[in-house]
Amino acid sequence: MKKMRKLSLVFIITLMTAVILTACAGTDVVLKYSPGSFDTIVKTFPELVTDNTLKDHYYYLSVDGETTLKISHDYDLTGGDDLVIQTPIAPFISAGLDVTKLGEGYKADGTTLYLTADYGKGTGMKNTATDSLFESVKADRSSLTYHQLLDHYGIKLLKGKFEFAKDYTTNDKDLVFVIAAKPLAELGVDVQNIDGWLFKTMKDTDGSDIDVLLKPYDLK
Amino acid sequence: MADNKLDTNFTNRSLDTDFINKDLDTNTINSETPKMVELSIGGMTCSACSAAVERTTKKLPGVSSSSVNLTTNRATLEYLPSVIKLSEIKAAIDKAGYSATEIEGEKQADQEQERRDLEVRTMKRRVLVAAIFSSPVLYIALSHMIPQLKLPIPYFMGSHDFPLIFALVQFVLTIPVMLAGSRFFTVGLKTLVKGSPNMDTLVAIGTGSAFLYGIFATVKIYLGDFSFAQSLYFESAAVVITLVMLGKYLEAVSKGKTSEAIKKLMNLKPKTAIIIKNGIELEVNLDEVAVGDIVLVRPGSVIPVDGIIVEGMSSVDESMLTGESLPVEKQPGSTVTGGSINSEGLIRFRAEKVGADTALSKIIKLVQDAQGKKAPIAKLADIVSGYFVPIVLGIAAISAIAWAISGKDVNFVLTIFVSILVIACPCALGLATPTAIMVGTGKGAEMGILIKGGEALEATHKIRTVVLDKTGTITEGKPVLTDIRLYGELDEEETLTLCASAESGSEHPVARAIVESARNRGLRLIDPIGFKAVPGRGIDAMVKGSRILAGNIKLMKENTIDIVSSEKDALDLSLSGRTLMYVAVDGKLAALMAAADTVRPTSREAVSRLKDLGISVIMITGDNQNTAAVIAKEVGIERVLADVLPEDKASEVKKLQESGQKVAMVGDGINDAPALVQADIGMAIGTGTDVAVESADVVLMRGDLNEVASAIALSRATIRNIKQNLFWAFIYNLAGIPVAAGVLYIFGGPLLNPIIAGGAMAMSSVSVVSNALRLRRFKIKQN
Repeated sequence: MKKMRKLSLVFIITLMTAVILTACAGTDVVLKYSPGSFDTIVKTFPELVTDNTLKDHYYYLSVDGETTLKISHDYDLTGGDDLVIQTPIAPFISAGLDVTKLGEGYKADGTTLYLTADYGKGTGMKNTATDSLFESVKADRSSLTYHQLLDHYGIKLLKGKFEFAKDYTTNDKDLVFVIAAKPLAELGVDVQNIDGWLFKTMKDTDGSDIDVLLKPYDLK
Repeated sequence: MADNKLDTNFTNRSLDTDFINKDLDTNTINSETPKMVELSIGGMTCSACSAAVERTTKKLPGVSSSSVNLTTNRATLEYLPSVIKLSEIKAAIDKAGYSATEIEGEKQADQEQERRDLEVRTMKRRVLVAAIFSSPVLYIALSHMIPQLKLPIPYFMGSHDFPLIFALVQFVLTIPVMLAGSRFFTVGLKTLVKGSPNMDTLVAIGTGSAFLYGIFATVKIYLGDFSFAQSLYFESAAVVITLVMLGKYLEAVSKGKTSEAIKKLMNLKPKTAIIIKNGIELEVNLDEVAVGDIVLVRPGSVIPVDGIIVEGMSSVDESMLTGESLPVEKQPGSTVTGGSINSEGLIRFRAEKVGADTALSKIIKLVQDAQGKKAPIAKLADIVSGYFVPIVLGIAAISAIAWAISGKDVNFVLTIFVSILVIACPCALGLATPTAIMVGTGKGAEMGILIKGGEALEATHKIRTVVLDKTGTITEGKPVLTDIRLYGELDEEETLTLCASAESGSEHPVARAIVESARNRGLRLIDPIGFKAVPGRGIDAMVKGSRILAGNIKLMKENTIDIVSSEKDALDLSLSGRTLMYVAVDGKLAALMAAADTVRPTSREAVSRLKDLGISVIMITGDNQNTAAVIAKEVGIERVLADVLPEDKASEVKKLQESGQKVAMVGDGINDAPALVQADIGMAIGTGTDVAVESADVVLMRGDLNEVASAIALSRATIRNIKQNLFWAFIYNLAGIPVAAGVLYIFGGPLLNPIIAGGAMAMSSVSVVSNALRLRRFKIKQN
């Protein structure tokens, strides 16, 4: 009887170990499934992406033609600006932004505000927007997030985030540009009144409140 | 049948043996006597289990009675060996999902105790394993469920970014918890298959569903549906199992404490004894001591067995057995009892009773039997528990289906289902009565009050009238001869010689007083011829060719003895509280002898305490009204039943019962036995005869009448405690099930989390046992 028990225990432990080992290969399901979701969106809505790589090494992803995510196809060639969210600066200036005070992660010129991110040199030139976007995740896994409440994946930039629906068919916010409100508020910007951007206090994954500026798009 | 006879040393004169013989005859006619067996039952966790074992055994042909006690884990069965074998009974119990081991003798009882201790240790180990593994599961789950807590967890285990790892870690940690609690599944599912689901079934289905759902959710996450990470239910399964196991463990520890009185009694027995063999001191094991051995006990040592001192003097502390704090002086000829402590001198005594025959062994057996017997109030809980589990299973299924139909998602439905199953475990209900009875009877034993079972305990609290026997109960029962009035030609010495000779074979207290007086005067007594006891009247014997009649007025009248000349003396003496004995020699009144008994020092206080409890106190005696009234007045009793023949005591008690009163009879003598049996509660003064002790429901070991009030107060406290326990157990389930079913949620209130349900369920059992343990602090209010 005791032998049987021991055998059962050994069997269960072996089974568990096998399950864990098997599972280990594919445990990062967010990384596994997120490129597929993004790829589905850009393939379903090809007009969203403009290939400008021959000119400036970027794919341009935009719904309204104004706020755009620029994705470098070769991180080695784009220096510190591998991913860039660019958006008209006028509403921010109207809300009190002093461009001279912008710090790391921001750039600005007369017409546009840039939120930038550097993910190192990458692994070479990529041929699709999806592969290019996920070069950032290869460099830093923590740049990829999943938000259960919204059912969104996200790619973190230094002062912002680009989010896309895990399943655009069931989501009413398929693409979302996110700018952290707090750093801007600290620069004196009236973050609650920026034209074209929605101010919202969200719950972060650690439960803390986080103020953000959102520009969501429903592609359907 | 000889074994069934009571161990008595009575004389024919004073005992009405009809009631005993009648019982014996009835049993003899029924060809085969049922055999009683006590089994230790393993695997019982709740009252549904004990009900299932009871049901299973009662169904068996040849089993005439079965009583299963959850607290002691014992079953007491009566069966006909010609119809069913014990092995068949055991097999039936095994088949029902439990184990059965026969308990025989003290050695096996010790083994059973060891087995239980081992079980408790195993439970502790399993609880520890479960707690070690379920704590991180709960921690990880809480970090996700209540992010505001900001519980730090490793980045790679985050529920949002790494949902599969988050789920797998919980899955892996939950497995050892499920293994630690595997008993719930093996027993619970087995009993479900057998059609008698119990508490384990509820836990098994509840946590099993949660665990299987967790696995399903994990697979879904693996397949890309991360929303399942929000409610994995691994934490519910793990924590509920841990809490239920913890509850069971605490319950087992507490149950051990409820039988501490037994342990204390058992611990009184030394392991060894010193006997003198061929002049040499030999230290032998206790069970090697035989009747007739000379046992040596040094000062400070425990007296190992019962016996009679043959050499040495000492004072002996018998407080452990009788509750009497003052040591008792002992000298050659005195009896000593095993378990008492020899305080001062070195004594040698001859072993008279050993092993299971010693007073201590009998007391332990009596208390054990008492703790195993159910009170009628327990039957309500048993009936409810028997139906409870199937009903709960039904409620859980119906509620889950109803919520599913109303459109709630699988998480919501599962929460309802698991919560109902977990919160409705009826363990508190099953523990409510037996734990209180165990503690109550145990406490009684500590106080020198042996209550023979739950039924006696429950009946005692209803007592509103106490009938006290006078001689030996209110009084010391050792009267001394005070007066001799002569009416014939014989002188005092001649009369006393004849009377004492005739009475020498009698056990009557007044007869003993006369014999003792004669011996003190140095008179030579002669063996009587043709001694005849006339119950309730006196004796008739021939001494030196003369016919001697000695007894009460009825004896004289029935023998047409003229007693006119003694009337004035009789009136005077009886008015001063004397007990009278007329002596007639050859058909003529020769003397009137009077004896006086002293009232016990505690009797007045005892009567006063009974009155304070709202009890009506009545004195019953064979003495005449005048004599009885004097004693009654001395102790503060207003109502007296005098001139009652021994055989009429029972009918007097019956008359009181017929008038609607719950009556307790307190007595010490053989002649009190029928009345003790007739009364709703018979209380025997432990210093009295074996017959009285056997016939009684309550034995007052100290011989102090104050214990009558103490016994009633203790039983009232115990029944009050049982009612509290039952109230809370019922309320808990009545309130808990609707909340778990989502009734509050319908009105905008919260939904019950299975973890909270598990915690509440465990606490309900622990609180019931803790409440019962409060009885250990029971103290008698002294006037």
